[in-house]
Amino acid sequence: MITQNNNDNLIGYDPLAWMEQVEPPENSDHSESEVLLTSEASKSTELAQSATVLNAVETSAEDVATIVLQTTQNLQNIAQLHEKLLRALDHSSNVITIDASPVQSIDTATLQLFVALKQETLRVNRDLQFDFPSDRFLEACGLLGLLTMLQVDKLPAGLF
Amino acid sequence: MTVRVIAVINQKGGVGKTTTTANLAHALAKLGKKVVAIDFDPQGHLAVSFGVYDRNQSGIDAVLLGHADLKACLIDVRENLKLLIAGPKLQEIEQLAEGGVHRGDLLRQALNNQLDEQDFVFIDCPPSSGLLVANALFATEEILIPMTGDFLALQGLSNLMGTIKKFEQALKKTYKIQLVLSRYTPLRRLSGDVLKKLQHYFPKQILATTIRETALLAECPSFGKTILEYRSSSRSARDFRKLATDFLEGRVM
Repeated sequence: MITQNNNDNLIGYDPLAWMEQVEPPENSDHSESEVLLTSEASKSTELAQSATVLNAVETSAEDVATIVLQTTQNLQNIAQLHEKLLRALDHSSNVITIDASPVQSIDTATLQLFVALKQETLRVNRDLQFDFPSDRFLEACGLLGLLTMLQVDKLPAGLF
Repeated sequence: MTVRVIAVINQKGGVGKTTTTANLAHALAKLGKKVVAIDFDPQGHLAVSFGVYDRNQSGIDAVLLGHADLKACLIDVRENLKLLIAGPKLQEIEQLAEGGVHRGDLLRQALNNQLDEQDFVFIDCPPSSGLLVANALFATEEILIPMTGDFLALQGLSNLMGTIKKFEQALKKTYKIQLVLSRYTPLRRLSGDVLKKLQHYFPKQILATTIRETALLAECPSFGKTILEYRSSSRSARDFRKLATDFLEGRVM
């Protein structure tokens, strides 16, 4: 947000303006595959022990599309995930965030999908981040040598 | 007694995190409060500010790695004030690649009921956005953000608030957030504009006393003294004594 450049104001660009556009965080229930354009992306973590795992694409005021993975990611739900990834790519957000905290089981097909997504985001000059990757997610990425490629070898990845 | 754990955070460097932590902690201790200050920055500047120079001594690094008992690592640096130094391996913890999300929960687990006899625990965070800051955000319910009167500090604050909101949603909690204007230059117009902007976005969250930029505040760490010792009658010392009262009584702008 650029404010008028006048003698009364020495701040042109207001970096905090997004704060007024964001709903306060709340415990929300989203239907599966729901696309929310106005609320911050909700997340679950191992610490939060969230029992219900949702698989939604959301966008935040920070221009981030977020996909929350399911506890089990395999061939049974890969088509659904693929659709969500495509929708995230279609969205104008600069960052695609995948909340990997719920993952307890993941197959190679799903990881292949993430590799393809990573390649596509690199091609179109966008960022792909994995938030709160669970130990099982990290373990699977490690087994396939994808930790560095998917950049999940850092911190509670993608938090920042 | 309920101990208040406060993370002093700003991902931007040079905004006065360590100066605020050292002097506010000491001012509160002088008011009779029991305070622990944790040097959570691998640079170890908080320890230096209190005159502790041994960089090889274990501190919060060993505690987080499970190699030492937290209480055994506390150093009495002033009356009512204990220090937990960074330790030589804290930087390694910042780079930890194993452990999944549990890497972010090390500090919270280490503090668990260990400092209940204290009034305040201040965590002086590094000017980064890595694993150490994540640990601080997991461990605390309160955040104190030192801010300067510069435009780039506003930009940094925007990034920090984005990070904090992510944590609030992930951890299902709402932080108590307070700001303190540090290194403030009241005669500069931009400082006033930045302050107005902060008051707009953070109503009743900015501590009432601004810490003005002075040479004395820059000098005192080299003598291992807080401003309350280095020049106890200076305006900077007065600023911090007033800030401590603001903090205790919830006096805000």
